[in-house]
This record gives sequence, structure tokens and C-alpha cells, in this order.
Amino acid sequence: MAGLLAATALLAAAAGCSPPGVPDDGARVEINVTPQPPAAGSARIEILISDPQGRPLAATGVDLEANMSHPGMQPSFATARLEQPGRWLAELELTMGGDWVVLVTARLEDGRAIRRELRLPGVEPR
Amino acid sequence: MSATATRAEVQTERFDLLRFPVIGRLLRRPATRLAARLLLLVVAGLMILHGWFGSQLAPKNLATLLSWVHFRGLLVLALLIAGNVFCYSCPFVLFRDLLRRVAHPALRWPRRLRNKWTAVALFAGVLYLYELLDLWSDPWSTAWLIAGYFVVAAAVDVVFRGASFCKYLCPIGQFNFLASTVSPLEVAVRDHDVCANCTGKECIAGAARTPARPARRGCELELFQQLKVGNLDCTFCLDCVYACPYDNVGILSRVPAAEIDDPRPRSGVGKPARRADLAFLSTVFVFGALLNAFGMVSPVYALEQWLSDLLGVAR
Repeated sequence: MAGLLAATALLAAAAGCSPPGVPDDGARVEINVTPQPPAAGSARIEILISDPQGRPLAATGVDLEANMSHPGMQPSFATARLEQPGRWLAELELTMGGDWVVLVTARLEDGRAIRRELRLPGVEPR
Repeated sequence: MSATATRAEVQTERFDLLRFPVIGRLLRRPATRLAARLLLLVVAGLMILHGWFGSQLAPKNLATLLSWVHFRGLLVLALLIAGNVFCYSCPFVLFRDLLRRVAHPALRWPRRLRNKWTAVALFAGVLYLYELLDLWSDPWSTAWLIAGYFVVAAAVDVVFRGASFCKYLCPIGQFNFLASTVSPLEVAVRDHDVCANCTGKECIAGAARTPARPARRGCELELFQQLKVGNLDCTFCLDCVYACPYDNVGILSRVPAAEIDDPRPRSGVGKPARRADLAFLSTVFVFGALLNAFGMVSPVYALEQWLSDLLGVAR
């Protein structure tokens, strides 16, 4: 019993107290959402990808997935289109009001994939 | 025809899952229960680990996705289609049984606590924590809840004999006990005449080891099959099935919910109509979920915001 409790405590300590932060992958990603404040319905997502010096980073594609913060609701997917170097645009359907999380995955030309998470708390109902 | 004969005749007409081909044979084997519990133990372990170390986005995490969506849905379906399947497969009991190989509880659950009042408080507490901590969107806390459940269940049952945690504390168990009153199956005696002539009462006393059979424990929830009515407090663990030397306990069909207004006194339960604790537990069971849902609608959020602004405290 004591061994079990010790193992549980050890696992808990290893688990830490906070979710992972922004990865240090050499890319700056800025995500802008229109309208502001976000509302249920179609949202326009702008993704700006650059290197740490602000120069646009070339990517082969950018995918988006939006989930509500709690499980069990329908997710929404979109593929962004390239507007100009480093600038991508997508239309994403936020199907209802509530707390949303948008996951952005960009595939860079050098083969790396960079991922970012944007939280949209309190999306207004239609 | 005597009343007893009529009752026995009626009972033989009931569908008996334990006599159903393949499924019945499997269910009569303790190894099947062990396999079901092992499976859920592994799943629970994965949920805990994923909750602690995996993505903290709830829809992408096993702890929240399985706990608050799929598990709840499957649980209710199983209760409506069959019976208390989750308690049959309970991983917490498996963990407890493993510990009891080295720790042998000597105490009985305190007499004053042999009721559902503590369970009511814990049941309401879990519903409150679910709202307070937004557990549905918090994998890390959900994993802790699961891990805590294992620790508390084991701690209680290595100190106290029988299934004290299941009967008097477990919030999931209380939900299952009450919901299984509307299940179409119950663990019940096949022929009461056989019980009338039984001297060993192995279904509750347990059966000693013989050259032909290993030792079997009796009902840990103190339900004596001969006087058992319905599914209240029954975990469908099938210990009574394994223990009965006359193969006289089955999983029988019945009219769902008919037991709710059955006035007979019940073994291990007493007369439900005289149990204020059961009445209160049923009230929390019926209205708790509605209250949870009510707390998620816009007018309640607006009211909370208004109160927050008025009192100058964070919402």
C-alpha cells in the first residue's frame, strides 16, 4: 500500500502542474480571428507565419481544427489558402456559442510541422 | 396448485441470461469477470496517464473523452439493455482484491454509517465538483479524480470488511444501483423451493473450499438471495452465482421499474419506503443532472455575471 501511494505521488510529481507551453520551434505564428468578439457562425482566421526575425516562412499547407473546450461536440475543420508569402486565410465554422479551441498545423517546406493552439473563450451564440 | 408452485412456474418462464448459449457459459465463469475488470483497469490506467501527460485539450484526451462522454453513454445504454454491467466490471474492486491478498480487513463498517447519507453527500459533491472545476474540460483534474477513486476505494476496503465502499460510499455505484431499478435483468433465485431446503446459505455466507470447488465468497453487499428484491445495492458481481452449490441463481428477466413500488422488505435494504436516505439519494439522482444542465444555460450565466458584478467578486 505504501509503495503504491509512493508510486502515485511520484507519478503526480512527474506529471507537473501545468499544460505544455508554446513550443520553441523557430517559428512565429500569429493568429487573428474576425469578427471580434468571436461569434457562432463563420469565422475568418488569418495565420501569419514568420521566422524569429519577422521574415515570412514558406509552408506547403496549413490545416485548422476547432473543438469546443469540452468533449462530445462536433469539431470543425478547414484548410487555409495562401494569400501572400507567410499569410494564410481560412473560413472556420463555429457551430455554437461557448468556449472553443482552434488548433493550427502548418507544414513547412523543410518538412517540419509546427502546431499552435488558440483559445476562443466565450464565443457568442448566434 | 400452491402459491409456491405458481411462483416457481412463473420463474421458470423468465428468460435467464446465464442459460443463454455461449454468453451464459462465459458469465458463469469467474475468469470472465476477471477479464472484464482487467480490461477496465488497463483503460483506467491509460486514462490516468493520458490525463496527466497527454494533451490538455479535453476532446483530445482519453481521461475527459472517455469519462464524460463515452463511458456515461455506454453506462446508461448497458443499464437500459441489461443491468449493472459497470459494477460487474469494476476496476476499483479488482485493485482492492489485489490489495486484500496482503491486507486483511478486520473491521465492519461503523453501524451509524450503514446508510446512504454519506453516499448522498459524496454523490452531490461529485456533481458540485464537476461544475466548480469544469471537470469536463479538464483532463488533468479528471485523471486525479480517477486516481483518487482508486486510492479511496482501496483504503476503505482494506480497513473494512465486505464491500463497504460500494454499498455506503461509491457515487458511481449509487447511480448504478438506482438506475438499474429500471433494467430488464436482475440477479435472482431461480426456484425458491430449492432455497427453502438449503442449509448452507452459501449465497451470503460463502462456500468453503472442497476437493471439487474452490472457496467462494458470499455477497459482500449483504444481499441474501432468498429475500433479495430487485437490483438496489446489487453490483451484479455474481459472487452468489459462483457460490450457490445448487446452481439456483440466475440473471433473470423482469418488468423494468416494477421493483420501485414493490412494498416487500428487501434483504440488505429493508423497506425502501421507510428509508429517508434512499429517498434523498433518489432525489439527488433525479434532479442533480437537471441542475447540472440548468447551470449551463445562458440565463444562469447572466445571473452569475450580475451577481459577480454586484458583489465585486470573480465569477
